[in-house]
Amino acid sequence: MTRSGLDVLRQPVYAVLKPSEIVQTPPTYDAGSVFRKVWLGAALLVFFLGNVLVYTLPLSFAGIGTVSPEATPPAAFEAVPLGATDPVDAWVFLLRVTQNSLFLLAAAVITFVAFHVAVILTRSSKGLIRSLRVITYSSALYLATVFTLVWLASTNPNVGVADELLLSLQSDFVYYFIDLLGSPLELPGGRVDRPAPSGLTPAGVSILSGLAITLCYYAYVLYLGARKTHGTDRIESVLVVLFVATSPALYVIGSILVFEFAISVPDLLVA
Amino acid sequence: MGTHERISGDEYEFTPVVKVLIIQFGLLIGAGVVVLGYIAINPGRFGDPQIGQLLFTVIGFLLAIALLRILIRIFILRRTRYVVTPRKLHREYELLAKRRTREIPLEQLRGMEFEQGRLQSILGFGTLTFLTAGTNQSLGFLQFEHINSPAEIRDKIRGVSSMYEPGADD
Repeated sequence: MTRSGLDVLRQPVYAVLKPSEIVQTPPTYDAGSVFRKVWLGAALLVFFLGNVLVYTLPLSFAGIGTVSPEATPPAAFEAVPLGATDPVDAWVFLLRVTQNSLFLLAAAVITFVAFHVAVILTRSSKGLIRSLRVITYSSALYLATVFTLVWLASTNPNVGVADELLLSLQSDFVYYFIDLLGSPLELPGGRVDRPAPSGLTPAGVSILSGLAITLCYYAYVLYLGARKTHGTDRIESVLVVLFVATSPALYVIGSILVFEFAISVPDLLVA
Repeated sequence: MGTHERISGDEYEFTPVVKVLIIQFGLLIGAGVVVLGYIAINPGRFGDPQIGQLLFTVIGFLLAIALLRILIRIFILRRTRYVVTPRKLHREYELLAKRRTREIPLEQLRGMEFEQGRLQSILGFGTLTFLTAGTNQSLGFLQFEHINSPAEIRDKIRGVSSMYEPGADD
């Protein structure tokens, strides 16, 4: 688990040229007592949370994240000495860090659950810790890059069409399932019209290309992760990746059903 | 490419064959030229020329990375040599004044795995993996990749390992 400083510097090179190094796990990596497994799990979580902070702090400093300064609680004024910094700014910054971290954290958790369930379904699981290691390392590199590119698209005025294109794709994806389930649910932004791709600037094409390339890498690393850490064969590994790819759909369907259930429960209580 | 050489007595030294990788490189370039050429000639085929440009960038980048990886592999394998002695199996390569070696004593050899991809099988090459009794977090294996006449080398290793007697000189 310990990695030298040089190893850390090598990670970006491995991430591009040799992704297998990212998820390579020694055969006896998680061998040993339950205590050792718990220790490994805790170390991986600390590593992941550290990476999440490395990813979110610059974004939050740059002012990315939608928060309302009016909602600053009185406790924030008491906790932060007025002479040191503005409590409203501190509160807004804290909210931004939380908000930016939660997106990445939620995506990583969903991917982890989907990945491990898929590995179990292929009857190849060699333990939870191995799946945790694959998702920790791959999410810290590739998923964080995906989120950064999405943030870049949403904040850079030169890539407005690319941002609208991404928003429309997300909107279409969610509304496909809303319509499929016949739910009255509406997204806060409503249905987003798809812009004409001819309006894409070279910077917009670059961001969208970067996003597509990173997603290809992420899928490939999950494939390698299944193969190299759980010993799945090629077909099983492809099935694992396909299962993980369906997880956003399962998440959306689950969210719609929870919304529907939350509405129908009060109706039942009234009845 | 892919030499077999008897150093002395029961010691053998040989180098991997890069022909398979060169063929893979050529096939990839061919496929890349066809796909990228099609996109470049028909940019409007994908709904909008901008989408065509996007596809071109993505496929071009991934293709370039795949080709670069094969080139690095060829570069490393050209500097790799495998040695079989009555005491040990040895793999080493030198790259930019950096030397990396890996060896396993024959007394720790617990098994051999022979693997041939489709292309390797057609060309008569293969990869031998030597499994050892690994301890702690060691990987417990050594690979002789892309070797010519793998069956012959396997027999040589069987020959020297059966001759192995603990305490024999290196």
